Amino acid sequence: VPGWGAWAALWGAESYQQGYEPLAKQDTLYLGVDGGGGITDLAVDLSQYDDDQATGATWHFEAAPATRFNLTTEWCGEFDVDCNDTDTGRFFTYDCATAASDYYLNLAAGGVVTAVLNSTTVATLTLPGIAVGDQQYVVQWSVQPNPLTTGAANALRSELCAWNVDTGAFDKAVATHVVRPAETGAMNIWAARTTGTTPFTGVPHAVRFGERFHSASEAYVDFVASVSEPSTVIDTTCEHESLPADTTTGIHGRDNFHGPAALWAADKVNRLERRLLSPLYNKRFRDTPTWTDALLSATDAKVRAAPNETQYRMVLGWLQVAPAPETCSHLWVRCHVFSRAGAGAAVPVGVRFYSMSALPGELGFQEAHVTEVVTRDDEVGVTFGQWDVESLVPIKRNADGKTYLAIALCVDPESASANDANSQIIVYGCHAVPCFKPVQGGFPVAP
Amino acid sequence: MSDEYKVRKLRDLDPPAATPTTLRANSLMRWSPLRAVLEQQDHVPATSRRKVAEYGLNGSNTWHVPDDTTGDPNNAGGAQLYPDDMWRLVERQVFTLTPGCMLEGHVLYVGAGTVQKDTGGGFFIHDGAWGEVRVGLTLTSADGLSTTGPHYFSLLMPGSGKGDYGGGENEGGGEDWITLQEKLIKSIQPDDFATDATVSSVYSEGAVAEVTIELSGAPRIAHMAVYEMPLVHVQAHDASDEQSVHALPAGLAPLTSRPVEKGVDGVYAEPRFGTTRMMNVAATQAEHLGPIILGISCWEEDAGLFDQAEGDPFTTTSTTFDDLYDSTNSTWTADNPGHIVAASHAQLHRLCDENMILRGEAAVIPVTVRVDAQASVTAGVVRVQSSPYEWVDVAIPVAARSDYTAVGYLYSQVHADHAAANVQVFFKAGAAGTTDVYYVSVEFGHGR
Repeated sequence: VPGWGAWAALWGAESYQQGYEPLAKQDTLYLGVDGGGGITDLAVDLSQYDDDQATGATWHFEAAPATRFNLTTEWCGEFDVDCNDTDTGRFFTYDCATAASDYYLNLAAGGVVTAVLNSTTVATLTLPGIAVGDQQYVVQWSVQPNPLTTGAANALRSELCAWNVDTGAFDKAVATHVVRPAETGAMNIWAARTTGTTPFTGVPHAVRFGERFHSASEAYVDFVASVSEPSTVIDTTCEHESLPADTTTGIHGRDNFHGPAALWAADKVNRLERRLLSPLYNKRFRDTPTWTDALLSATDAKVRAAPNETQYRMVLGWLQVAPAPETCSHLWVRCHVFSRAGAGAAVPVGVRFYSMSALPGELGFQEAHVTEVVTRDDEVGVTFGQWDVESLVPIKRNADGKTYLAIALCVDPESASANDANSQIIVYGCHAVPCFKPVQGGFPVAP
Repeated sequence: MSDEYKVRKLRDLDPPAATPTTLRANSLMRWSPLRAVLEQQDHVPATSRRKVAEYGLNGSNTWHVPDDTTGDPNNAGGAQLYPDDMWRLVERQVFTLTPGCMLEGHVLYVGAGTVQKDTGGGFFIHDGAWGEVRVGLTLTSADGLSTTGPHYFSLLMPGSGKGDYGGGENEGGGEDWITLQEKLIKSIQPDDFATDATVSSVYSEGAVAEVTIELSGAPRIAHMAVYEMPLVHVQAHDASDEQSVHALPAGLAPLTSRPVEKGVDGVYAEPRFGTTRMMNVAATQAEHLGPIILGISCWEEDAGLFDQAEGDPFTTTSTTFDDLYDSTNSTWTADNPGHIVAASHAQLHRLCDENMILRGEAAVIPVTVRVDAQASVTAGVVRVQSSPYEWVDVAIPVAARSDYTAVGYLYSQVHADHAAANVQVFFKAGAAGTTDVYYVSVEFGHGR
């Protein structure tokens, strides 16, 4: 694991927020996108370096010394192509005088992708659903220092991912391997040499090469499918800008005042304030009895009426106690419910989640709850139910900072069904995620 | 190592608010806003109340302890009808402790059941009605060179006083709720942690904790949680590695006008005084502090395993992935039952940045997965998956039962109210093999 000072190495000195080309990011060394002009378009560098490449018939390249691609411990190549099971060739090759310093991504017949480093195949993956006809694929080779390394042989960790954009199929291979020996060479994209040896025979659409590990999700949202930003009503503050926490920044030099460093740290400490918030309830229940209206209504030592309620029944098996830190005000809650009618029409079932400041009946008891009534006839063997409630509930806690969390059920709370006796309910799991909901109006509340 | 230590108590901190706006450019350098930043840095680990281990009914409507009506506990020559004083392991979690934190437990229970004493030769006699739970803590230092523990902290629970033998169950409607008791198990920490700096300085930063929950006798515990409590962060003065706590001293003069790596060169160096220290703390907190993602135990309360030293493991012989809990469920979907990756507040800039990387459309966090498991005949795999594209596989080799670890990335909620990041845990065996899984721990980060 690198020391804190080495994290600054994630970013090249020339990197900066670009902001005008969504796929060109701080770490991007090269970005080529086919806008209809084929290789001519792909050879236009849309990254911050704006360093266009030379073109061959079906490939483009940067002759040695292509210094910016001389990476040793961390990189990511992403390739958007059409291909079929007879296509072959290189996605890219960093071609050095010493073969051990070459690194490349190759496609063999049958859709077999190999990531090669130091003359050794480090990961292999077959393109999911490869077939006779062309399909669109996104292939990603992402490399990072291996946090669990025990020596040179497993110093790096690779993820090789492939999406079949047409079918949605996905596969991933993970491997560990050696560090790439540093050596400057030529960067050939869609071929092995600047002369076009081992050309890629499929149809290239885009290429991005960067100097940072990219998650599979990043390639997905950038190349496979657009994803909408989820809406939220809570305050999510988290790390925004990495600190240039390296002595080479000169930030502690004799000619620098405290200002920038202090400003960075002040911003950071505010953004880290809720970093340790962990779910108060994160259960997939080990035991999942089937509840019915009769069982919920029967005399049972573990079942009681919900506080200040006559209909909803609170079950002891779902009671939990949890410490709620001062940095959160609400819980976002969901319960996984399988609800079916053993016979007849689906029966409405009320599912309620409680946050309580004490056990019911104790001095100082306060509660807040959220409820959803679901009317479903989940089919056995077809579905396992679904997540219900999915709401915010204010945290009620005692002086010790504890909150008591409970689930209550009610069959047919509005007396809308004549089939209550056939209702069957299984609660498979429950989540309660702490968060901070800003006050609307009034004074601001510090985290 | 130095024999001088920096000590920061992490209780009752009330740091002044520190905001970037108090550090505007072209304004006079003032000591107070900068001091506020340095003090507030210590407040970040001091907010931890992460729940790290738990045990309870876990959905069951039946105690694992038999009711008093099972039979006469003085059944000389008969079968064992009630638990004895053997310790039964019901939970085991391994995770990196938040710097400066130790543990506390909160137990919700009702009257205990009847206990038998094994007098040997298959003979049992009545041993009263009582139950005991203990939390075991073993710490390993960040460098892996020092360990301490297991240290045990227990709670004794009295019998219910009901039935013929004093350990009968409640029978009236809601009676378990009415008789519910609660107690704390405080100060779950090595005996000398709070008093001996040579101990606390070793385990204050980056220590890995193994926490166990064990039962003896016939406790009836509805739920118990073991969680972190901030205590004290101690470090040797000459420690120059990653630090999550600034520990600004109260008595030193204001900062110099320029950043420095250390303050006063006196008897010993004082590196926490300078700007480099401030940035070290901020970077370390961002990289290493985060939530406990999830924990799984094989213990099944309604299986009635009062006479076993441990629960039966999750077991599979399938050569394709099956859900850990349900062999009929073999495919990840967002709608299936599972856990959640609730790490929206712990997104890292380099993986998730809201403007330029994942743009708020998705979130991915680094995780470490530890699995207590074994495989026979051929190797098995345990998979922790939270989206169609993010999972971590842990290889289980053919070997004796052990902890196996893998790192990777999991899809997380983008915001805490984001309906996403459902986690299913799958496992499979190799050809003609069997994979047994006892405990699974998933935590934020890739370790130290």
